[in-house]
Amino acid sequence: MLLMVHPTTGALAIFCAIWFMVEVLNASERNRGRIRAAALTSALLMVITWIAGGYWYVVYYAADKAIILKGAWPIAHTFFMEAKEHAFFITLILSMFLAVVARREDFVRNRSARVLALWVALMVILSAFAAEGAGSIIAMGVRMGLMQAGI
Amino acid sequence: MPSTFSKQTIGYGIAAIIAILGNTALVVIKEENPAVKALMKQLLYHHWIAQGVAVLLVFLVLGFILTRMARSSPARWLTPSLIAASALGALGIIALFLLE
Repeated sequence: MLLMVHPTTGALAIFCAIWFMVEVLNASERNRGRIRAAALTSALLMVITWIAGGYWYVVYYAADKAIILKGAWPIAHTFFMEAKEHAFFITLILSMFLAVVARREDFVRNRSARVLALWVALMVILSAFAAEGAGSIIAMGVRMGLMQAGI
Repeated sequence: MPSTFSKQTIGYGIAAIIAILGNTALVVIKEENPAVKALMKQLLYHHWIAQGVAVLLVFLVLGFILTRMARSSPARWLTPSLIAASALGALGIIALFLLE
C-alpha cells in the first residue's frame, strides 16, 4: 500500500505543479484562488510523498536493499536510491517555497514573480519526474535480484 | 508595487537556497564521516530522518527569521540564485554517488 501511495502522490504533486504553471501563464484576477490552490496542493502532496516514502524506506527498504545489492543491478541502490533519497529534499523545499510565492505574489501585475514561480514550478516538475524514474529503476533492481535468485 | 518581491518571498527564498545547499553539504559530510552518520542515527533513529528534519527546520526557521528582517525589493538575484543553488545541490549529490 505504501509503495502505491508514495509514487501516486508524487505524480499528483507533479500534475498540480503543471496545473500551477498553466494558471500562472494565464494569470488574471479571476484565477488567483486556483493559483494558490494548485501550489498548496502540490506542496501538501509532496509532504505526503515524503512521509509515505520515508516510512517505507526506514521500515521496509533494508530487505529490498539486500536483494538489489546481490542482484544484477546494484547501481539501483548505490546510485539511484542514494541520490533519490537525498535529492528529494530539494524538490520538497522548492514545492513548499512555491506555496509561499503563490500566496504572497501578484502574478497579474508582477512579471518577476511570474518568472520566479514558473522556474520554481519547472524545477519541481523536472526533479520529481527524475525521482519517479529513479523509483522505477529501484523497483527493477529488486526484480532483477529476485530473478537472479530464481524467485 | 510591480516587479518587487514580498518580504516573505525574499526571506523564504534565501532560506530555500541555504537549505538546498546545506542539504548537499550535509550529505557529503555524513557520507565521508561515518561518525557523523552514526550521530544522526543516534539522534533521530535513522540518518535520513535526521537529514530531513534538519533541512526542513533550516528552511522554516530561517525563512521565518529572514522574513522579519527582509524588505520588499526587486531582488533580481533571487531567481537565478535559486536556480543555481538547485542545480548545484542536485549535481553535487549526483556526483558524490557516481564517484563513490
